Amino acid sequence: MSTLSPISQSFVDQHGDAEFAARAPWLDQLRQSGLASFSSQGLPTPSVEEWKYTNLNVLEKLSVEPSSIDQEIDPAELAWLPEDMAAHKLVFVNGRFHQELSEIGDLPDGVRILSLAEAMTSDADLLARHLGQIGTMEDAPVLALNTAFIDDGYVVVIEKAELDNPIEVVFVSQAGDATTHHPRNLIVAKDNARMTILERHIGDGSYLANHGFEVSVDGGSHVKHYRLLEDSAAGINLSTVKTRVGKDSTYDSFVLSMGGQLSRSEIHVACEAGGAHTNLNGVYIGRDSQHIDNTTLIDHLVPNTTSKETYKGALDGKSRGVFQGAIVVAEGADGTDGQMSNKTLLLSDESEIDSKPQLEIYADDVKCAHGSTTGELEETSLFYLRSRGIPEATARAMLVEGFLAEVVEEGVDEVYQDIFKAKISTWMEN
Amino acid sequence: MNAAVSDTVDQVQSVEKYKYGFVTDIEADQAPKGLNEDIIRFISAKKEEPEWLLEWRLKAYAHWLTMEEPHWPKVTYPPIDYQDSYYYSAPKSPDEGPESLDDVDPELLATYEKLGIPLYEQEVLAGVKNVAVDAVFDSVSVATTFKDALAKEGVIFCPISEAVKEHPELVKQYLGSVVPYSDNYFATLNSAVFTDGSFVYIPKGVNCPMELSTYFRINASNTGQFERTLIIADEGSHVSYLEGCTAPMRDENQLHAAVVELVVLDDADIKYSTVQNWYPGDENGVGGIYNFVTKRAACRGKNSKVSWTQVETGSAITWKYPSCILQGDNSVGEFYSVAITNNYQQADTGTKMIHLGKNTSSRIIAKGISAGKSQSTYRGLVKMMPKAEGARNHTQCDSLLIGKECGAHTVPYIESRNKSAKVEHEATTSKIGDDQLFYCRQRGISEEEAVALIVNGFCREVMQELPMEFAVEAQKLVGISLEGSVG
Repeated sequence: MSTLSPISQSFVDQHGDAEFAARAPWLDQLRQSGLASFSSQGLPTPSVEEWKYTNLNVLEKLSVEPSSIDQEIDPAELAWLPEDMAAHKLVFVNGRFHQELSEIGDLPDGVRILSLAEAMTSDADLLARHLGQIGTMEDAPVLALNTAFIDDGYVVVIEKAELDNPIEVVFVSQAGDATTHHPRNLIVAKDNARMTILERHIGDGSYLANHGFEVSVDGGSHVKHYRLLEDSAAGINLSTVKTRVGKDSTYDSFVLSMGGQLSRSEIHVACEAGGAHTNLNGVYIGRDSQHIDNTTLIDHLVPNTTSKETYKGALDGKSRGVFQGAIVVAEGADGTDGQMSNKTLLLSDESEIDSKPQLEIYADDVKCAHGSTTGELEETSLFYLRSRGIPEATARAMLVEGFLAEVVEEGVDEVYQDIFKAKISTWMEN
Repeated sequence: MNAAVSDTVDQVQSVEKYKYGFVTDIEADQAPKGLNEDIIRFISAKKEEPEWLLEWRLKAYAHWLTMEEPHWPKVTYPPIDYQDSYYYSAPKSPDEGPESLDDVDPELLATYEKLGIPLYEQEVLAGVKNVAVDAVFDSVSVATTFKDALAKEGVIFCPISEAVKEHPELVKQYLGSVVPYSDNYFATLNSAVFTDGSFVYIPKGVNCPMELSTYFRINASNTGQFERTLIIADEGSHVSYLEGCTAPMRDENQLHAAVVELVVLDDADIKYSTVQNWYPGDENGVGGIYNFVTKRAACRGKNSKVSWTQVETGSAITWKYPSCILQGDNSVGEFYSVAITNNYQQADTGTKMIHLGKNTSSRIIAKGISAGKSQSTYRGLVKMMPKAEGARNHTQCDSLLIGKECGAHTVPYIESRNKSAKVEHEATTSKIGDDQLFYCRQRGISEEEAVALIVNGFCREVMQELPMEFAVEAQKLVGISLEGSVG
């Protein structure tokens, strides 16, 4: 790109953190390459196919100053898990690790849970080995932007171990006069490791939270990554998850998107060895003028890998949902099984859904299918309930909840299902 | 020779590689190579066009110069040199235009004979059904049959260049009303340099007594074919229109950038069937036609209906999306497609269904078959606008892969802005089952024949939408196109 838009340029201008360079010079190279990549691409516009339905010009209204820290937080506001559920808790305020609010319990051997800022000094080798390894920043300007500003985030490394309690992560965004942050998170699981991450994104005021994730699951490991996006009405949440799944390993992702004026959750999964499997599930519920984008890409690179994906949404008011899902089967990747489904209920006259379920297949011995439906509630189902004396509003709510709950039941471990179902019920009541 | 043996011999003979690949040696009247305003003036003057049409062409050309060639389709090809092509090539005839078939160059008639398109009416009369044919050879229409019989019903079926002279009010009213001159790169180029094509007008309440057909033939080398077809179905009328295409085998790539516009008024319907068999290039991907076509139907009236059926077996590259703008309430759009690619062919095809009116409905069935090193993509858009109350769409896309080096892709876009509109999309990709093949082989059917049989079964839902005459030809084509893809 020859000239950057003013907003893209202001991100570039903001860079050049001398203090950071001194603190972790080895990481500065990666940040610089992120900056170079972003400078050459700029923020994506709708003329870029992958961003056809989501326009980032809303960022122009934001100040792009880096977010400050040390804001007052009421711990009660952060609570979202049942009281009796023990978890290793990490809290990030405006992208920075908050020691006082966090609580990491005793960890078995082979498990490391810490903030990226801490890992920069304590585990530099580990970071050097894993950061910036998955996926390219080419054609991913938002991830490049995140890379340019790598500073803090969470790091979870688990090897030959099973973590019984989930890892709870809360990202709080607070808009003062300063409003952007770019947390970078790293999840590594190898040698039959097991773990669950429960992540919640909240905030107030207007801000941009631009998350980057690198996830590596290998050697028969299983990672469950559940996210709840509950940003403030004026908040903007972008996230790019780059995952690589190795031999006989599984990556499960579930995303409940319900907050923010604009959110985009982008997940790329590469199945790199035989027996790799991924489940990508999501629910999106929107109202007012919310814009909710879920974009996924599953790359089946070698024979005998499988994937299953279900996204369902309900849209009210003037909200707009976007689903873009792609399954790519590489040449020679025989025995691939990829199934994708996207269903949306439009609840109001002014809501809109744009759905693009895509298959790109270069191998012949495969089973791939996708389905997509959009429409309103079935009149007959509604009639059935009403004929049994259930008021219309209640009947509608029951049907919508039932429709969405299916994905939660499919994509989330039983112990955690109620957390997400309760969020959907509360949304319905409003 | 007993019957069974001679049958087999016939069968083998009919499975020639590309039997339409010959060149007709005919003296041609050509414009100089290249593209500029003078060429456009030349074409317009040749056609004795009125001033408004020339202006329209020049406006399109000026706009084209500001546009960039699109590269979003999933196809790759070397850059096209638009100056290295002839934009006008017509078989030389003694006088201005053939008055009757007797005036047509015998060489030409022989060509169409060889292609299996009898232009002599009596021969057609001997057939089961009457089909009126407009034959377009390079840049001009050489003959239109059954004009008189059609005229009795008030049906106008003639070359568009003739319609410009005879029915200027209709042409002026509808030309460019569905595909405006500024629509897209290739449609704009076509608007500037289009040479001929068919014009059809079906008056109010008339059920067109016979199927209408246009046969397109590219003959001269280094020419591009830019035909423009305009069909208007007035209130309550019905017409079925067939389109066939072939070209000689050459090792150069030739550009075919056509525009088809359909206008359907209240209670009218148009059935538009295509068997596209342009030269696909040889097994090493040398030569073949670039088929970059814009086809669009405007269902303007209430209860109007358009049905596109296409069998795409030819062309090195196919890039087309026959679309329906469903504007009238209760209007219906249908798209049935079979796209077969083999060797190095590339096809990026599909449809667009834009629902504007109430209770509009559309149905899409697309079957893609890829073999050899080919790539086949279905790309489709279903759009429900806010006023499309109660609109419905059902889309089914199935892909079949034959071999390890080909690709099959599905890229649907679904955009809904009306809650009462229902959109359903399903897609599958698979290969020919080993059990299916085994079953056929076990019964003494050769592998190649078995594949053709299975593929024909896979395409059946689309094939059965074709008019009888075309269905037979299309089935044979499937076998020929897939030749060499197995074993």
